Amino acid sequence: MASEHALRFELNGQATDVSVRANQRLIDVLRDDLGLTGTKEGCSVGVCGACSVLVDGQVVSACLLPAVFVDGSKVTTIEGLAPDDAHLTSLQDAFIRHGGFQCGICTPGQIMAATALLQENPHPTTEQVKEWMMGNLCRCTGYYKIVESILAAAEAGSAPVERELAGIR
Amino acid sequence: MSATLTAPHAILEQPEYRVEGPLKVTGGARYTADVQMPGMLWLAYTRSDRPHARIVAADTTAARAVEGVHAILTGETIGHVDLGRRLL
Repeated sequence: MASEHALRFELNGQATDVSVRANQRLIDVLRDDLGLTGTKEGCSVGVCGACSVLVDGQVVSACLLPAVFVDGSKVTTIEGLAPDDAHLTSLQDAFIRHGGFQCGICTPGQIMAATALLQENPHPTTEQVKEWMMGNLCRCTGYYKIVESILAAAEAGSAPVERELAGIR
Repeated sequence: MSATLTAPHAILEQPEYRVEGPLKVTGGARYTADVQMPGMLWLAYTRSDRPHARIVAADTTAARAVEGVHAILTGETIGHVDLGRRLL
């Protein structure tokens, strides 16, 4: 039996205490124990980027990281990006307006990776966006719209955008 | 007549906000794999380790002995049913 470990870390700005088994991955703890199912599991081997989250600002595949490793760190998932229910980040808004997704399964990972890019480089070139986003696969869009969304968000700046009232909530 | 045609054209010229947009960019959209029900069981497939062979029997004793296993379904459980390519 795998040993149990008590963890304390900051999850989307909230102090979080959990007990995890040594063989649990970060994605298992996020999805199954904490109910944050926004982070998706695609390939399970660190290739597709669907499970991308930020650990201390760095993009990490949550399917590769043993959960015990996040003890004492700051973890941000897709659920933690929007400042409140009435706003979206400019990147989230750009993905909607520029068709940066279809089915939406890879989208949380795409947005987490692109968030890290814009934090590091607020005005990337098209080539820099493509290079950075290489680790996030999408089977729907053909990538053009994803690149377009990220460039549009860079143009718009980092201020949150009011959420449109239209749509399912 | 022209008045009734103007309205639909106006709709086509406007970019439409995606109804499911906010859900998909915030992680709020629920997909099948995101649903957890009380008492929900997990399923795992075991596939043949031979690429081209006739399955004559499946020995499930070892799987049955694993703690927490609720059921094992094999071709025998289902019986003779015409499905998939056998329909053609």
